[in-house]
Amino acid sequence: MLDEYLPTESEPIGIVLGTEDSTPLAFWVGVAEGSYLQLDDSVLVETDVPGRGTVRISGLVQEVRARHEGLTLDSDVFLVDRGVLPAGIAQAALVVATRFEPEIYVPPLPGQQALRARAKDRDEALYLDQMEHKLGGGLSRDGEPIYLDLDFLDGSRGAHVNISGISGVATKTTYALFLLYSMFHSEVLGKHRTNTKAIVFNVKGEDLLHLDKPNSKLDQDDGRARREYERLGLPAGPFESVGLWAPVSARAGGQAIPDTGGRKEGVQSYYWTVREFVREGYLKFMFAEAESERSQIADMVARVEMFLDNESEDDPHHDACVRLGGRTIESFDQLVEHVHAELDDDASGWRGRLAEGTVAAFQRRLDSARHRMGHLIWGRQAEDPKGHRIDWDASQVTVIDIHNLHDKAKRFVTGVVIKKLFDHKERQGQRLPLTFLVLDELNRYAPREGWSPIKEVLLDVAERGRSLGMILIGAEQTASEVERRVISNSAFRVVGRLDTAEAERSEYGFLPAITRARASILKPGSMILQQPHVPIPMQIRFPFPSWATRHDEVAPPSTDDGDVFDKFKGD
Amino acid sequence: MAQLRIDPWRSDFGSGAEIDFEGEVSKAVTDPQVETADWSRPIVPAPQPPEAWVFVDGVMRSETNVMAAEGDRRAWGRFGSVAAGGVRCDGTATFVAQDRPVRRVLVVGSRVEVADVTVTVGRSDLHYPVYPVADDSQQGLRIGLQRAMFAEEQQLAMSLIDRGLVFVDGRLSPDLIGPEPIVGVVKRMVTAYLDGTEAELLGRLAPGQRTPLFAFGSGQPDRFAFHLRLIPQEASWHELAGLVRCEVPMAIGRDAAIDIADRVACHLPSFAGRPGVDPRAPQNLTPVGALEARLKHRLGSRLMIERALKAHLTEAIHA
Repeated sequence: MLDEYLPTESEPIGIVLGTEDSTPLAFWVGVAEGSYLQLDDSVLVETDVPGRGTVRISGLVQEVRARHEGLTLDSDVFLVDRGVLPAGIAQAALVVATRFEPEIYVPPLPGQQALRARAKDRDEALYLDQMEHKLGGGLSRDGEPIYLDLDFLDGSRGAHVNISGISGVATKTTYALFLLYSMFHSEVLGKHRTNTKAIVFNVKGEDLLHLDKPNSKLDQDDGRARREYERLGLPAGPFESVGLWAPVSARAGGQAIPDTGGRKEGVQSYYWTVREFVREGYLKFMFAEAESERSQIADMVARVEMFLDNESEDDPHHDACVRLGGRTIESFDQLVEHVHAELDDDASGWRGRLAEGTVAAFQRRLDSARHRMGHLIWGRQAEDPKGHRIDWDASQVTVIDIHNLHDKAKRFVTGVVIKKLFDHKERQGQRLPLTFLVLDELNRYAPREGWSPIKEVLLDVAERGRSLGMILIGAEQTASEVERRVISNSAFRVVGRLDTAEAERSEYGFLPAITRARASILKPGSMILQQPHVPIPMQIRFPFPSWATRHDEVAPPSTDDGDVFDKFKGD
Repeated sequence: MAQLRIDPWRSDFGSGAEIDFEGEVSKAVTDPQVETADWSRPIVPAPQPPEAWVFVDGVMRSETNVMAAEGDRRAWGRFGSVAAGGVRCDGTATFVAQDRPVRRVLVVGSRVEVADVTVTVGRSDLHYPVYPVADDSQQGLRIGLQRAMFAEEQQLAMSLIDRGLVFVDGRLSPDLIGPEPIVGVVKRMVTAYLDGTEAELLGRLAPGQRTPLFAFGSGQPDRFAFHLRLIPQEASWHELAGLVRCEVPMAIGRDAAIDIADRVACHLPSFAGRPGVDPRAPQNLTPVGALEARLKHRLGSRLMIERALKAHLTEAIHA
């Protein structure tokens, strides 16, 4: 429900209970008849401390209970229902204190009036008054805006967002995009707005290939979504600046056609050249499955990368090709064959002292990867390598589609892009403007167990991205399967619908027991947000996407292409 | 050999029937035939439409006993609290008159002159006006306090007449014997008013049935009464278990009394107290049991009050 009217003054809602202990950190409020308190409501109690003046204690409702008073038996309720047994109904709310102004940790006293905090009182309870740069993060359940402190996102005091939740219902990617939308369509970034970029991987379906189109279903539900955007101070529309990139189709016969299903228009295809592959050391991303840290394959990969780079020369006739051993490598297949030849040649130094088994395993995996991602590396057939190199500077949001690719190719693309991005930021040497990286399925790319080149890059992003201005908005079904350091470096933790068993794991220790239970019943569009400023996590929801998230949400093009005033002419 | 039968009340609350088998049947009965001469079978009233009933009850509590000394004169006294309240049942049971204040009294022998006492407990001032009694024995003080409670009950009952048929706990006191239709519900049968065929009928009553009306009173008959059974008789119970006697003022007239008797016989069993839950079930009616608990709670913390009185009296001695 979205109330049309938001009260601007805190209103009396009840009285602090004396039948339950009132402590500085948690206290119970008896809810007055005709009033209500719901979970996450902000509550304010003012208490007088002798000699110190008035202390304002703010908090959030964490539990609400209602019970028949004076009755002892469960069956009493039936007598009450029959009108035989009189009973009063008492409602009480447990408030967890979030703030004391001034900081004197005293309990509110029984009998003191409790207010539902509104306007600036509510801002105080949620520390919104201390946020200098407020990023709209959604709405609280009573329909008031909730903000994220940008200082904790942009690296100045913290960085990174981590989102967990069950696929399909947790709306993780949608929330990540909402955050981007909120950032790019408000003034919070100030003068850096235009130059701030985001790279988003589209891992499932074509969900993210319509970001640049308005959502035709935005107006359902009586325009409520529009009012929600308005309340957050955001326009309701598509992303303004979007670049869509899809891998080149494997069977296009040398034509760089994007491999997408539903959408072709406006989608650019990407590939890399053999020369880039050699010079930038992309080989490792063909071996991106996690493996034991003791595995020697990684040594083998590093060795081959080094030999490729050292022993090759740029082909003067084609900037996509290299020359190796005196002959021009015109395709990825030739490159792989060359590697095989070197490794099979006992006289060659490429294999070094690595065991026969390691070399064989390397070769096996090289071949299996090559069939999955080889079509993304072009040699002589590349007519315009620059035009097919993913250019994240061209648009504010760059969507890189990988959903149609085989798992090995997905890893390859992800690894290459993140690595390039990270190197780019590192060279830039300054935090601003920021670059955001949205990556789902973190458990695949930065698994808790084992080592992989992508995990290494992601760890770099998690640990050094804050100072480099590279911000990871990562998501996964289960945080328990993701590398701890990636999660622990996230200033913001967001949780959508969680599997009950998953919610019990220590990774969600920041959720109080009640909130954990709530996490298993969250609806799509509702998330639990933990941010550094606010001591307890809050349930929030975000507006229905104003950009299309599926093909059938794309608004049909307007029929009156010409004069927009045409439709008024009959009036 | 005699058979043994159980009384369903919890024994520390006494028994639901305490009539003296050796004693005489009360001669207060003047007429068991006001309704019918046929006491051979119970009266089974036709189903009655639902209606609003109001149950009124009071509670009392002694806080502390005192001796009043004035020169060489002495008298016993007692600080007490009384409260009355009501439950209105019209399909929904609700407490009524909840804002009615608790009354505090200082019952004290009238041979000494004592001033009212006001003590402070927490943020409240409790005012104990003097309630002089001629008999300051323990029994006398108890009766004094009980009178204060009855007065509260009666006052409340009269004020609730227009909210539905009013039931009070126990016998109708003389103050309630007027033209208003008020029903007294007597839980404990102490005096036998019936004998012979009439008395025999009591054991054969089933829930929803009643005896014919009989008229009685001390001196002059001033009320109609009838017995009814609240819940089905259990095999182990004696025949007087589970019965209540209801009284209505004679002044309301015989026809009105019969009408009320039928309505009460029809609906009162649904308010019967639950065996196993209420020690005086089924006679202590469920709404009344809840009301008593509520009212007792409203009297406040006995410990706090006792302490405040002690502190206050100590201070007065040192002053």
